[in-house]
Amino acid sequence: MSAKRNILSAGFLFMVLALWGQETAFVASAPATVKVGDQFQFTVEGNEQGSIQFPEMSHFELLSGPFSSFSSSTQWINGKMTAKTTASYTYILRATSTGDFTIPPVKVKVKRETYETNPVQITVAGTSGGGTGSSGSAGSTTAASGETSEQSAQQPVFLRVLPSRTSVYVGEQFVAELKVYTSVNTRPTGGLKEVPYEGFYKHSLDADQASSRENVGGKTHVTQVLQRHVLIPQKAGKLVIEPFESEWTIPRRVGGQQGAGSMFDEFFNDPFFDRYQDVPVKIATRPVTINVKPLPPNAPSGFTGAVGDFKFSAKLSANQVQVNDALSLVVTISGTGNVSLLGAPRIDFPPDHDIYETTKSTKLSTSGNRVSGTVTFEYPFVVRHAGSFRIAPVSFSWFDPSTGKYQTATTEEFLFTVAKGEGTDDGGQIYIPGARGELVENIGTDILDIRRTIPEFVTIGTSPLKSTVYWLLYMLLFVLFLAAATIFRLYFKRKADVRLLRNRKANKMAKRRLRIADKARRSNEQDTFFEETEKAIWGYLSDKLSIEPSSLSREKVLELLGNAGVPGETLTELSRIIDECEYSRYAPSSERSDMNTLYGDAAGLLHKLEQNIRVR
Amino acid sequence: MRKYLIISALFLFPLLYGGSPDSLYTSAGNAYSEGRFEQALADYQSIVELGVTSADLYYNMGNAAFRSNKLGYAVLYYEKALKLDPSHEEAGKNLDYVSQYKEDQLEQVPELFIRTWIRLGYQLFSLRTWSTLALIFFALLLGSILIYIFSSRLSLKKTGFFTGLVTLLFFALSITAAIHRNTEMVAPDSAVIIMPSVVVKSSPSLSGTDLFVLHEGTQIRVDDHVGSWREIRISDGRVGWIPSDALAMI
Repeated sequence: MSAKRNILSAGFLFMVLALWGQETAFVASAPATVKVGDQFQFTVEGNEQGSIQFPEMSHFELLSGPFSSFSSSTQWINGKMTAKTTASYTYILRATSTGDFTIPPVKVKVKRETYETNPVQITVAGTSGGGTGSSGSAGSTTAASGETSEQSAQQPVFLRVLPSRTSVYVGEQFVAELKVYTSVNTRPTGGLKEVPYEGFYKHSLDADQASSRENVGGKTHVTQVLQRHVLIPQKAGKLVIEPFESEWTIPRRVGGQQGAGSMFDEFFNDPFFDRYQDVPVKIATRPVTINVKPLPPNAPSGFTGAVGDFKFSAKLSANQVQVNDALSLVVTISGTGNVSLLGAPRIDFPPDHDIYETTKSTKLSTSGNRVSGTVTFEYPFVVRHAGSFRIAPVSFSWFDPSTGKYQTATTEEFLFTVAKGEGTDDGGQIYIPGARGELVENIGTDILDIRRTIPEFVTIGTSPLKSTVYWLLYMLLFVLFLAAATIFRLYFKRKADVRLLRNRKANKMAKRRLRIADKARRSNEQDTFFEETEKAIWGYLSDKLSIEPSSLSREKVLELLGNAGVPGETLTELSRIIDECEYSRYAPSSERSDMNTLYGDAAGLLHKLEQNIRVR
Repeated sequence: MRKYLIISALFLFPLLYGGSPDSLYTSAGNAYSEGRFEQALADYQSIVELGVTSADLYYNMGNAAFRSNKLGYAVLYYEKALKLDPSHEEAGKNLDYVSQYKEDQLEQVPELFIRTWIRLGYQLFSLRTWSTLALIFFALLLGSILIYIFSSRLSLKKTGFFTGLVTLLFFALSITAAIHRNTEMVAPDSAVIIMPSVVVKSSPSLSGTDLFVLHEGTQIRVDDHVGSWREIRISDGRVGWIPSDALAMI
């Protein structure tokens, strides 16, 4: 009876499996508790046909089998074909000795692949009846059964939440079962709600409908797993699964309400005549504490929260495309773990292309007590420019709770070339990013790099204002200034003295020259006379006006003398005498001026000049 | 023999101790390139501990500090670099860049335009430049005086007079700016918050009322000190006290 239900539930399980995905898997099942000598069914079920190799077993006798049955169905939904195949192999076994035994994994060969089922634990009880504690399902151990107290065992019905593990990592999956223990005929009042596992991500598994027997506190209870969930803790710390309350109907004996002493009472107090009435009772589970360990620090950069055991691959849809073609990078992560909670790995796309929203599709399957599946992230993008591009290797990291370490898988880099579209120019028909060109956009900004050439180091705390040298420089400048001032002063003084001297001696020198001219006049040396007269006049002017003889010119002299307050007639006289001297020096003797007159005029001119020039 | 030992020890000592500023600068640069920013910062720091510095050194320290997630120190070192060399372009740009990561957004109290001009004016050059300029203007001033006194021509005399006036003005400006910069260097009054966050108290004790919270990288002015407490003023004019280890003087 129970085995039949087992098959049914397993069959249902596989229909679910087939809906989720086409992963080939085989599951073995058998009742948890049997009696020595009893026949029971051992079933292997899968979604592929194959040849089964029955393992060697010493404690069980193979009576008959395998009885194989196959069913397959094909469905077309929205143009998508789904093919389902269910294969089951049933053996009839008999237990030969008491004790706890494990049926080892059964190997099933499908085409060239060999698959293994889960091992199945079976408790073989003696003929006296009552099994020792064991859960009804393979793989899950009743961690809390040892804690069962006497009091609860005395109650006719009680509920337990039984986690498969009590110490897990954040994100690590484990199974929790809600199990009922009863010694009476009971059922939940109304529907049974799901246990709200707060702080956990839960994924409901099919409850094992098979009931089994368990000895709790010396009393045999019929047990049945009502709910099974794969739980994934979402945060670290001590998470408490709060008591879960539900209402059950239990039969309670009514009777003996008549007073004691009646002879009928004696008779009707016999259990045979007991009347039973259905009474609702509220039953709560005990709180269960799960110690959730945080993930170790220093997670690799590609870590997005995956905990479990994963395989990772990525594929680019095409390598050679044209401008404005769509490409997609498909990242596939498959394995066992918190598949549905995975975050998309970060991908460095070459800049300047249109990247669209990442789509995530998840396929989950439950095999045994674990949730496994495949997550596919699709990163679609449209190439906008021709050229060769590279997508850096994609890496995905996950935490493996079995080893307690992070693992990282990295793909190869992806290269693709984009050819210019035919007919359409770079801009294309669809996408025109500006008339012709684009502004150079910043992809990222950052600080400027350091300077690497060794600089000129200065001692800390030095300041020019504090250094003696600096102020000495001021002193030096000032001293230089004083020195220059003194030198200039002396120079100008000496220059002034020279002028004064020359000024004072001008008349004397002129007279000396005129005396030479006079001597020439007396000896009638005409050439010498005119020369000396001219010299005397020029020499006088040079000394008196402080002009070097080389820079003397008539215009300059006339101007200076005019400024010095010499009257105009004297200037005309000066010009006339100089002209006559110059002319007479080179003219023939007949045309020469009279020496005596000229001598008198020159002497008179010098006298007038001496009187009229005011020295500034 | 003993003499040689001492001499060789003198030569070996800097080598054992991490080397000269130049070699430390190079090794810190390499560490920075390899991504060991903490190491780079430590190497640069040891150059400063040798007693020498430069604007480039502070600029690189700012970069290393920013890369080591020490925003406060990054601002501090960029400011130090700019103080040594106000024309350090990269330091100015990076200071602007890292400022976007500052948590505190402070309002500026509107400043009298003449104050802004004065501030911008003396911040134009470094102390060195200002003092050199002062010296040059002083020399020009003396030259102008000489021209004025000893020139015999009137036009030259006039030129000397006006040049003298202008150079006197410039000399006064440069020496004032230099003195200002020097005071800033000797007794700095601006600082940067280097702790991730610090509570500003109303009085220099832990029992003081909490006034507001400042975060890493915010620039403040330090007005007064009592023990290990500093009276600070933020740019919107608010005043309070914080422990001295929460800030670093620029």
